[in-house]
Amino acid sequence: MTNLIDIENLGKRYDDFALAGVNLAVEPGCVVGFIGSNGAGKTTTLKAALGLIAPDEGTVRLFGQAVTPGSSALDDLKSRIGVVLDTCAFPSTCRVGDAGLIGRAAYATWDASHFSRLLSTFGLSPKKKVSELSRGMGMKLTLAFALAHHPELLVLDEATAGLDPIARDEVLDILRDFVAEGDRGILMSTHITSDLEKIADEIVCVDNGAIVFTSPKDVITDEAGVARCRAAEVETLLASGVVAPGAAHVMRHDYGTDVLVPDRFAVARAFPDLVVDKATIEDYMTLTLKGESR
Amino acid sequence: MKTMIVSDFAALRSALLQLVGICLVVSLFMSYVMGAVGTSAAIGAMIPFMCLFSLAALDEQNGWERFRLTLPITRRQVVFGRYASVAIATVLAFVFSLALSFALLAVMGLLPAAWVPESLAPAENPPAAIVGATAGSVGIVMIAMVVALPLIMRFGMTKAARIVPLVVVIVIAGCVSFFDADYLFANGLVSDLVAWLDTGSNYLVAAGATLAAVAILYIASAFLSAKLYEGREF
Repeated sequence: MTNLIDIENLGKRYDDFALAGVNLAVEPGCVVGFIGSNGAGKTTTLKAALGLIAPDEGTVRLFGQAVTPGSSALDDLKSRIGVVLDTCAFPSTCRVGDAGLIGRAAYATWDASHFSRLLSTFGLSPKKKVSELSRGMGMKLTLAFALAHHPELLVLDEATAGLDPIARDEVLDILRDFVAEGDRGILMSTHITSDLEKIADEIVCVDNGAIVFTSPKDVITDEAGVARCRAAEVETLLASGVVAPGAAHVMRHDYGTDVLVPDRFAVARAFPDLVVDKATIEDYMTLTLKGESR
Repeated sequence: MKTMIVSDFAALRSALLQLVGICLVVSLFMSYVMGAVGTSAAIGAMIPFMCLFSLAALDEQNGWERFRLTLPITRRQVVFGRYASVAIATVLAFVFSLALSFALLAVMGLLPAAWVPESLAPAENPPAAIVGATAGSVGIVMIAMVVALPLIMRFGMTKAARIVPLVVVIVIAGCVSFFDADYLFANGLVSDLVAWLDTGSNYLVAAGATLAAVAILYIASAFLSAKLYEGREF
């Protein structure tokens, strides 16, 4: 089956930043979480994926077709995508209902009744001005807009930022329903990694313009672990052969040393007295990026 | 293009309604001083320019300009749509300012002559002069937009706000040095032009010619903007 997004060897150079060798794919039925620190290259990658910027090298394919920024063929591809960027982008002088007018003009597949239902679900009055919306309500409006033309792919950039936990769960439920049909997918860039633990199938981490790891989420949250060691235990653990050379990431802090291990069950069996917690995506990312590879 | 026009007018709607109210109030004061001719010309020029800068400012708010490019709309459609929106606003402003002036004169016509200020007397406000003056002011504003729009599309409102005045000053300085004002006045060219305008329906002829010439420049400016916008990164 054709991937919804295929990014191969993407490169883009700016004066003070370069993206290089980025590979990323979103398969139908998958939610791909895209993580990394601020300025790591997430938004640049998403912009290239959406044809907003022309890459200096590499290729971007949407639904199997090469993306050429500015081409009319890109319009057809964009009509199959719903996008939520990190702010509610509608002009502040518009009313919520105006987003429906814009959607109807922009998308042949615009579903006005679906949009109204989503507004109602999110508690958004069509008469309310965009300037009067809180950040969370603004994000809900953008999400309703992104979903109302029945896209096959959602590209979300910090879509759940600013939402309270209950609203975030509502949004995640909607995203789960969206992807449940099997032929749809989501590329979701976020700093709220706990959301990805609830919904993502795969995690891609970018740092300093390059992909650091791509891993199924379950490998991170079910198999990997963080061994909470005293200083003396670290070398014993690493010398034991339970962890392959280079596979552990060690980070020392004031109260001990955390060691990210790829197989927490193996470590727990070999060192029954050692505390080995399940790794969260945040642990995995932090230790991979900041820890010492051993 | 339709998406652009719809989104532009959705964004402008509340501002336009406010503008209409402001124009009604302003016209009452201006007409007393400048007559219906000056009022119509001023309002015809004011509204399109305010629309253009409102839209350009809204583009930069909250990343709307970037988000808009994620919709199924090409960059050329964005540019041509924006030019169409501004052109529609200009036509509406032209019609509105004429309607306002003629309505004002009609109301004055119902009042006793002693109550009507001299500036609003029918003799001071011939219809041809009102149409001609409004077309002239709209033409001047459209020339300003011909210059400003490509800069706004290429650099965005914030940067363009610094560049547009510079370009305008250079253009004006160029015109002043090219057309020697002393020579024009001394040789009676200006007075000849005024006399020609006051003859028959020449105000209307001049208005039509001005608008036709400006429309050609406006279309050329749209193609230049489209070219410049292609290279812009967000």
